[in-house]
Amino acid sequence: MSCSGATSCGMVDRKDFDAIGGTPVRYGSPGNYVRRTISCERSFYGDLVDWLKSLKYFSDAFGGAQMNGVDFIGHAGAFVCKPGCHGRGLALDINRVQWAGVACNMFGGDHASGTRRVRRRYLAVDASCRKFFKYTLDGWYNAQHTNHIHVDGHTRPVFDKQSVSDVGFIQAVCNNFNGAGVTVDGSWGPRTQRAWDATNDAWGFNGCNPFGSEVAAAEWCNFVMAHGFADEGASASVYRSLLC
Amino acid sequence: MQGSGPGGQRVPRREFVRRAALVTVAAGAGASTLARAMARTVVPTVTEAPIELGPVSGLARLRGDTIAVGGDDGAPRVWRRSDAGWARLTGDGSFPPGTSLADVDAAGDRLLAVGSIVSARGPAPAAFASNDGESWSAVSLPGAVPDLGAATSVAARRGRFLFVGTGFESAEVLEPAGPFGVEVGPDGTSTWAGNGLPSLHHGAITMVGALDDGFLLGATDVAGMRLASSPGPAGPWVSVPPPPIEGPSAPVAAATVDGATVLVVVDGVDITSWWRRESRGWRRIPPIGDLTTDVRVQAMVGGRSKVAVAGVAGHRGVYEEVAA
Repeated sequence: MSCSGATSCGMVDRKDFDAIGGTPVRYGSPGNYVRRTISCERSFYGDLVDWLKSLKYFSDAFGGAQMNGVDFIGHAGAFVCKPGCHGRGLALDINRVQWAGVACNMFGGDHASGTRRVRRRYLAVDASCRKFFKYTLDGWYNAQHTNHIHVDGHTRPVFDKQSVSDVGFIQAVCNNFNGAGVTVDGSWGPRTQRAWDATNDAWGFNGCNPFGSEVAAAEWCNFVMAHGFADEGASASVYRSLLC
Repeated sequence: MQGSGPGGQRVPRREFVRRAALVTVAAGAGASTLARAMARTVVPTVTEAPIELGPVSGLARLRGDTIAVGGDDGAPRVWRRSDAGWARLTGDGSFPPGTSLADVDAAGDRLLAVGSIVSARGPAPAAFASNDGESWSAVSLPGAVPDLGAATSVAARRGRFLFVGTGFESAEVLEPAGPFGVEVGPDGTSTWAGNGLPSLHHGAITMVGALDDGFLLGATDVAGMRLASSPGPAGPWVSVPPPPIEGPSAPVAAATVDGATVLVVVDGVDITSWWRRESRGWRRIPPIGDLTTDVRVQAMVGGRSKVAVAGVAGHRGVYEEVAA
């Protein structure tokens, strides 16, 4: 389904929800979250359920006791009657993931936190989104997204070296998990290529092409989630893939 | 009596028009003055009329007739409702390929329809002028209008049009990336009118309406619904407190009805609500006419004698006209 067109908004098969697969969604900002029914396309809701299952699995497995179970997802809106994917019920602005003992606070700008552990946790959540939603826009993408992660899913998620969003995310991963020291500018060049190769060597990702395969891109996101929730560098190699 | 079909062919009236009787709206306890004063005329929808009225996204009054625009993505349609009933005015070749129409308004004898043209480079804002609703010509846009974006709404006052829209961040990611405004004068010349528009954070202008006392601009951003008014297309824009709606919401249509501003809002679960501006602020009112809340209103044209509203229910075009 296209996100542009004659009418600024509307859904074909609307799904009303105040929880994603049983996990509450709360609209607002820190100190002001309210559980409220929102809407999206039913197909997109199915993607959200899959996304949250995956996020929970990895945060449970690698995040320790503080990340057992997600208490709620904070957000700034799904369907909103405006041009673009929000207007078609195909997008969600996520601004918090709250576990029992810790949170990923996109609203507070965790991507730019002075604490590496916080940045890695943000990147793990970021990766969980990219595993299911091709157009994931994070705090590195532009100023509009420093307080939330936008996800929409109108094409299959495969990495693209021409995508500012994808490349910026990869550069941030290489910096935070393998000390690459590359500029996060969304532009793929020789330094980013070297950082990419070194990171994959370090955590043992090889034989797959995330730029051509949806499965490979998802597996690379699994590496980021595992290391991010575990707060481990790439060299710790805490995740093993049967595929890549 | 006959009406015009696509390409100007004449269609026997009985084949495309069916008018229902004028029915007075019952006024319940607490009903607004507006509602009590209204009667409605139910006009054909797709289920009732041989002429297919698809989704309607804009309405205008031209020489006493109602002009409706809409259709599907890349398949724009223009209809006219006159005393003879509904007639489709445009065919498949009336607009450039990829055109979608979001709104229309009239200034005197001229129509301006706005929307977007989708190409391989993504959607681009577009505007088209017409004197009759059948023949349309593209309007040259100021250079400041973003190449990537869509015009969302147009309104006319005192012979001048103001149309508004949003740019997009990229062709892939259709996230709103800043509003724009364009004024179109009586000679068809367009000028940039975007400098004084309210600043938005991660939002978009969703409508502009022409009221008796000026333009009303509606937008939505991370802070929720935003409204601003201005006496003219170039501003200055003054913030107007919005109706008290919790959660994400967006204004979609506004008009002066029976001397008061009526605003239509779509909330975060795609439910339409109606609001009337009074001295103490906005008051929620029943829907105009016989519209239920599952009808997403996308256009409204007010006036002293009658009010027309239109939109979509599912994929079915909906139009109602009531006496004010």
